[in-house]
Amino acid sequence: MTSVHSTQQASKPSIAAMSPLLQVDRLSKAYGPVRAVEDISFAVRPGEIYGLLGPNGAGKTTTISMICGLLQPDGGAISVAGQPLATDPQAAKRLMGVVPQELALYEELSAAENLEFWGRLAGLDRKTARARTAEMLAALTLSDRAKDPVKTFSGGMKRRVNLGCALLHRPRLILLDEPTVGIDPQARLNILEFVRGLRADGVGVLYTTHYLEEAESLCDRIGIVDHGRMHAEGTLRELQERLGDQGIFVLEGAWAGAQPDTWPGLREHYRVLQHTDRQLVVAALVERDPADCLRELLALPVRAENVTLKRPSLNDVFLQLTGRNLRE
Amino acid sequence: MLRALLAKDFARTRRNPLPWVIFLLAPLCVAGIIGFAFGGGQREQKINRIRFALIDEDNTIVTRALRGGLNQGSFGGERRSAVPLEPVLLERGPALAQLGDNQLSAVVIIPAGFSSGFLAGRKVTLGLIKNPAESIKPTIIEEGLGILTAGLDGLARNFAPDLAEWRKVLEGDTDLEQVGPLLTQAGKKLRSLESFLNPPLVGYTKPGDTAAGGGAGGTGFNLFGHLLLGMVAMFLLFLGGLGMGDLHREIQLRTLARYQTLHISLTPFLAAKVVFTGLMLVLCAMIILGSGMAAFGITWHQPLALGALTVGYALFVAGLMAVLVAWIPDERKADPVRSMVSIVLAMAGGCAFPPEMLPPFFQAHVMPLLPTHWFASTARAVEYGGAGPAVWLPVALKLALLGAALLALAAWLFRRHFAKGGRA
Repeated sequence: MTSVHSTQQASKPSIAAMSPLLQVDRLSKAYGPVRAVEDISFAVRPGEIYGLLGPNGAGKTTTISMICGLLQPDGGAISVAGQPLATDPQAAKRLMGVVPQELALYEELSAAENLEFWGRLAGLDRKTARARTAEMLAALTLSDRAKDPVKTFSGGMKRRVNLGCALLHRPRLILLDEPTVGIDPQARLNILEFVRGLRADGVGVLYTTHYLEEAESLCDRIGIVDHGRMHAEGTLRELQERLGDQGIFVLEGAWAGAQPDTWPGLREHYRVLQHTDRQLVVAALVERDPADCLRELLALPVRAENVTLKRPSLNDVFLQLTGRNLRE
Repeated sequence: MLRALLAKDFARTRRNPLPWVIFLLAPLCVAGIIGFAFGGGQREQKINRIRFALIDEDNTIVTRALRGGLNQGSFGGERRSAVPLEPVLLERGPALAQLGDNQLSAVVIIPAGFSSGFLAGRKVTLGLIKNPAESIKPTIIEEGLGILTAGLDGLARNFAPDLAEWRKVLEGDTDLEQVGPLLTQAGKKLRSLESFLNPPLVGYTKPGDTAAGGGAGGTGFNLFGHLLLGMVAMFLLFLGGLGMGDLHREIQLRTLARYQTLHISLTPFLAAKVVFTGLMLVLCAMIILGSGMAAFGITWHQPLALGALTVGYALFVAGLMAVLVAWIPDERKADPVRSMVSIVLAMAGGCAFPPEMLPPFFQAHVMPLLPTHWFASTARAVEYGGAGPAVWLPVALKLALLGAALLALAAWLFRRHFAKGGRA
């Protein structure tokens, strides 16, 4: 799949220097006593894929729903290319394309009819909508199924049509809410490739996901959210550096019943990231010689059968920030 | 944009017409059954022959004369409509057996001693056993028997002295010399009465009796047509529920949520759905009324007036159903409410049966408030009362305006629902 946005790559300034396409400041939303989103702030710049990473129920969809105008925020401000959503929602929405997490398609209609319909509603005249539908179907590699009803499509094909419906009017900002949920790996790769194409065309992308691999491989910057709060944000490298440069130690052994937090030698120099019956994952609090660390860890009250030193993953960062695994 | 929205809904309906076909089949089937039950056609409904048994347990010259009168085959000529009677003379046993087999509508019994009692001026009674499996025909027999007994009663009171002499003659050896003067006397009395009885000076005519059989104003009453107009009002409510219920499916499909992320307001979306539903309802009304024409030969005298009323009513139904969806966005909860509202509005509006059957208070104070009644009563007045534009045009406009007001209310309810964070 290739992007259909016009290329804006020539003499591209650095992303950080660009003014944000989407600016979110201290966004909050509560459902009764439950604070779904609390003081979340971030920005998405043109040609950038910003990932909101968090487990189910973290507040990602609520955040995206407020940005696209489906939900009214309790507090905070949103602006799209400088247009405040609160005062001028129409202007802000014109610049956006929203790909909802759940499929939002008419199953009786064909792929072409769905695309053309949503293109017309987004403001395109019939001729333009028809021409761009053909382009989009080609980009989504669905030209041969253009006239087939969507209900006959596979999950991955439906996801692609769902994506295409938000792009026909060539928005500058695209909100993708978990666009790869429930599809096979090949279809996922196709969609990720398509999103990379959008970035190359200078489109700003807000991408929510709970898949670590997607965030690691796709996103330029990542915001880690859990329980409605933004715990950290930055590039993958910046987030990894929060655990120190020297990496983390994975100790395998019989850790059932052990209470590593109470061991003075461990607690003073290391942060316990994970403790299971078979595994103890720790990170050094300050930069130290790995050989010294290894000696200390092998001298713990419960003997490790195997010790591995590895580079921290996004999951380790998440674990360190939230105290739980992303997949829990 | 409205065109794109309408094209989408029509394309979806074309691809999946089954729900509409099923919902349309229901009124067509009901209309068909009622049509067959009432005979359907434009001609006045006729009662076919009424077969009943006469059991003459008296068997005198008087009762033989009475049987002969009944055997003439109808109640009166000029005075009443011809009722095709088919009396059969039977013994009690076979008569009751045939009644049990539904071969007879009733059994009339002339008991033993009837003649002597009648001629003596004593109180006498005829027996009547009605077939419980039938309703109309036994009632006609009963009414006829009432007329007969009233006639015999008048005869007994006015000819009492003559009847006493007749009794003496009939109970003894019949002497023709005695009968002759009695007949002469009776003939004189009847001749003097003739000027009071014939020809009848007061009568009645029916619209169907005229040669033209009803003009543009719709004078030829047809019970099935009358009921069919009410059924159209009732079933359009259910069909409207199906059309606007598509909003529930838009919510489930998340397409309404996707629409909400666009830069356009909700009103065109709702307006398109109302227009789509309205057009489908007009089409369905045409099919239902047209089927009445094709299958049962009903003539709709004022198609323009009926069309205008149907358009107004369709807008009202679409607006009402939009409000119900906006009020209860959960389809599972909305479905029973929608059915209940439709049934109550149809029944209370006098759509399912003649409104005159409802209590007077209801007719005076409740029915005038119901748009179903506005439509059904005006359509009936147009077709069978000859009502003109001065009657139907304001009603059609009132229905359309109410539909527009309900659409505005639905839009407001939807916005409030979404503003509160409700699922789109």
